[in-house]
Amino acid sequence: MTRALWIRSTILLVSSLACACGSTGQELTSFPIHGAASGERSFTKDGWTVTLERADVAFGPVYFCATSFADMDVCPSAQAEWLETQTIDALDPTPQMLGEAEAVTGTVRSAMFDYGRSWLLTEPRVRANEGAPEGHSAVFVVHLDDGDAVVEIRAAIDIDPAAAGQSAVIGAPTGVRTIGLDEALVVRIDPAAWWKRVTLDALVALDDDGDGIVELERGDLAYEELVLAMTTGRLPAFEWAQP
Amino acid sequence: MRTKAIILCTALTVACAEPTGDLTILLQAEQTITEGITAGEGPSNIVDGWSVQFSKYLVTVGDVHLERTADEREAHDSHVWVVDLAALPPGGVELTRIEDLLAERWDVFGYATPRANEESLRHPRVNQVDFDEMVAHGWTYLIEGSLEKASGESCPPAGECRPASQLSFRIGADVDTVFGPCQGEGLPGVTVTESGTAVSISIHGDHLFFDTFPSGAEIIERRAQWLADADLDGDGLVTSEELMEVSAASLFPSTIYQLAGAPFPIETAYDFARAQLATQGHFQGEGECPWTIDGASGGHHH
Repeated sequence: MTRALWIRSTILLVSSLACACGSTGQELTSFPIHGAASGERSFTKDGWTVTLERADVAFGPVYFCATSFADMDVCPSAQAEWLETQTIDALDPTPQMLGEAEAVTGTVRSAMFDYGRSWLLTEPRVRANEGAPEGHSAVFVVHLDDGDAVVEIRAAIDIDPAAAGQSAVIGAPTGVRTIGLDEALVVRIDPAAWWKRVTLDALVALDDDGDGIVELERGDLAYEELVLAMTTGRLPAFEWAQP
Repeated sequence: MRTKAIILCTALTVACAEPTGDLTILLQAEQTITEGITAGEGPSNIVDGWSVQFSKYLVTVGDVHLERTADEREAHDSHVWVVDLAALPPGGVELTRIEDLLAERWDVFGYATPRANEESLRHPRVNQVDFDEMVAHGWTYLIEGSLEKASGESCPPAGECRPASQLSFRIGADVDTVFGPCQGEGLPGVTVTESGTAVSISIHGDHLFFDTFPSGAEIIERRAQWLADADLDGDGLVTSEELMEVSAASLFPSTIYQLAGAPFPIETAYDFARAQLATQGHFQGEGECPWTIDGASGGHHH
């Protein structure tokens, strides 16, 4: 049984109990999830002006849990879930509608989610979800300018769950939020914070043919730095609001 | 060390008539600490060919806390000890005893591995020099040991690989962590009986070598090549300073390591070590205790 099925079972159970008993104290609801950029688009580091020209980041599926640390062990059934994947233009601070999450009213404290690449229990390997940019977790185009030359960095980052049934990111804090019947969520992503973790001199040194373009590959230091930043560093921020 | 329970009684007349008992709290070291971790392909082995032995595994531990949520009673032993887990006998050592507890179930049991300070107590098997160093640096852990692999190499990120069949390591780290509420064998907390009860705080020793922050036992593998590669100066001894210097991104490739779920950002190998050490506290052997460090909480099963 996949995690999603567990959640649907919970929702069905709540629904059944509601029918049988009139009220369980919990109600089915849904709320919109938006994605948006936060932070700056350009910054300076180590003598380089770093400008993000493209930052398309896949988000979803996401599961919200009542426990303080969302993972498949301590959160076998979620309080809320959104099972799709959409790409967030992480350079645009305007909220972009991603979809509608299903939920049971109650408190959430943490989330687990994928960056557009999932590994279901029923499948032998990770797959890119429909909605992920070019099948990747994130696609970046970044310009580094030291005043003399501009180097263009192209990066397609894949962040895969560690095992079937797992989410790629677990234990993401959401703040303590009691989901009611009138809820909305904005997922804010700060890609510049991720790129601030990159060792720029090593990155520029990858331009060994001098054409001013670097295509990052898995195993490159900058690629691994971005993976760590996206999974252990500046996680997406969850901003709750009444719409 | 024995402590009279500081209990908040809601009805003293009732409390005086209630049966009481003592709770003995043992400290136990996982076999990985006392016997080391061997290379191999089994679920408890290190899979990349290295074997590990620990000569010292000092931990600062204590600050035991009990609660009964039913009637809001609490008991607390605030003493903190510095103990060498590598020197413990198989049955562990008595850490403290809390006397005159209500002989009922206490459903919340927790403890801490704080930073050592002047008020910490030195266990007799910890030498004064090590204890003083722990206190001076405010460390939670001081771990010394060796790695062995006949065909081993140390490949520092910015250097050439060199033969290294044996390496030593010495890691001092502050990992101020609170563990709890703990569960042993599926039950939360402890049951105190009139004849006395003993429970154990269990510290695992192999998390430094985990390749993930797990939420499922089946996905963990133990690897030690990263520690061998952190010998930046090639002197055969890996130090905390070297771990602080080396980028985690260069030692923990995403093809092997998935570090989501870490309690704080992982930028250096030292961050990785601290983060893994923050997950080592257990209860009654393999019982689970959620951890809290730097405001972040988590927990896992393995």
